[in-house]
Amino acid sequence: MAFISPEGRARPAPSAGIRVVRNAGALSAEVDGELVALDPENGVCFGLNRVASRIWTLLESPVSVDQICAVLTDEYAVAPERCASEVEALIGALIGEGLAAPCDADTATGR
Amino acid sequence: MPGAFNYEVFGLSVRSDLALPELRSGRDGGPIDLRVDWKRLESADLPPDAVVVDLPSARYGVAGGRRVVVEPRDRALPGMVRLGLLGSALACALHQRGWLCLHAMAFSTGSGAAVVAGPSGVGKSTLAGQLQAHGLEVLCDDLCALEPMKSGVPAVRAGVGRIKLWPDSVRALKMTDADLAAVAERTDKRSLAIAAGAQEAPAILRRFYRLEIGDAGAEPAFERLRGAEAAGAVAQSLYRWPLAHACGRGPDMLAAAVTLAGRCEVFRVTLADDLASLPEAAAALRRHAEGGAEARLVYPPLCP
Repeated sequence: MAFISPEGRARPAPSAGIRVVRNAGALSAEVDGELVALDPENGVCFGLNRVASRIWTLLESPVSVDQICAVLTDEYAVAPERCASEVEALIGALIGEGLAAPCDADTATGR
Repeated sequence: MPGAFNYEVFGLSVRSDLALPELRSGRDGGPIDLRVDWKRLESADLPPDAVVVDLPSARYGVAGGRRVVVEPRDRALPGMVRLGLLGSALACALHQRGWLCLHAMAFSTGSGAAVVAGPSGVGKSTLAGQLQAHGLEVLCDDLCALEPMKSGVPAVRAGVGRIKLWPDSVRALKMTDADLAAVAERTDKRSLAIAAGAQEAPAILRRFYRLEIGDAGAEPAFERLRGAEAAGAVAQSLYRWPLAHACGRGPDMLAAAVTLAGRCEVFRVTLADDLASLPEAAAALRRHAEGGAEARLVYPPLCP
C-alpha cells in the first residue's frame, strides 16, 4: 500500500502485539474515499490511500498490528507477510510523525 | 497621528497608527477591514477570545480578524516588529476571518493565478523574484491568503508587497545586496519590492504547485496529484498550522484545503537544486502554469 509522508521520519513499528492508537488531536478529512490525516500542532500531514485510510479508521481505538492485519487480510486479497510488513511501515511512519503512539499500560488494558 | 495610515492587503483595507511601508497604500475613507493599534495589550480592551501571538520582538493581540494590537517589547527593532505583524499576526487575523493562509507565493498567469507552496528554504521566493524579472506579476510571497470561496472559485489577491531573499538568491537574480534594503534590522535577508501592478481584482487560482528540490542538473518535473495526495499537498502548505490551531480553526482549515484541492489542479513540481538553472526553472514553471487545456476544463463559469 502506498502512503505519503512529508518528511519521512519513520520509526520502527512496535512489536506486533503492542497496541497503537492515533493521536486524539489529529484531524482527518475524506477525499474520494481516501483520507488526509493531519496533526494541527505541527502541520504534519499524510495523504492516505484507501487501505491506509482503513488502518487510520481502525486506529481510532487501540489496536495491534496483528489485529489490523487480521482485518485487512479478511477484507483484501493480500498475503499475511506482505500485509504485516506494510502495516508496520505505515504505523512506524505515523508514530514517527506524532500522528499515532503506542498505548501506555493503562490504555492497553482498557482502563 | 493615530490612524493616519491606510493600506490594502489581500483586498482588505487596513488602517494603522504607524506606517507599514511593506503594504500598498489604500484609499482614505470607506470601511476599515483591519485596524492595527500600537499600545499595551492590557490597555487595549481586547475580547476574551482574542489570540495573543507572542514573538521575540512584540506581542500581538488579534481579535475577530478585525483588529491587531501591537505591543513592541522594550528596545524592539521596528522592522522586526513589522515582520511579525505582517507574518504571524496578519495570518492569525486572516485565520480568524476563515481565510485559508498558505505558506506560498503566487503569480498571475494572465488567465488566472498559480500558487507555489513549499517549506522554508525550498526556493519559493527566489522563484518569485525570477518570475518578476521575467515580467510576470507576482501577487504575494511567503503568506498567500485566499478568502472563503463563496462563489466556489478560489481566487488570489495581492498581498504584502515584498519578496524576501537570502543573499545567494539576490546574486542569482543578478542583483547585489546594495540594490535592496534589508527585510529588517539584523538580518541578511533583503527585500525585493513586488512591482506595483494593476492587480486589484482577484485572480482565479488555476494551478497549485507543491515545490520540491531535486538533484542538481535535474530537468523540471511536474506530476499531477489527485485525491488525498492533492489535498495533503495543500493541507501541508498551510501557513503555520499551530496558528490556525490556536485560533480554533484547524478543522475548518483542513476542510478548506480539501475544498481548494478539488477546485484547482494540484501538481508536485521538482526543480534542480541549482541556482544557476533558476531562469530555466522559472521559465518551465511559467510555461506549465500558463499552459494546459486541462486547466480550463476545471473551472465553471463565474456567472452560470
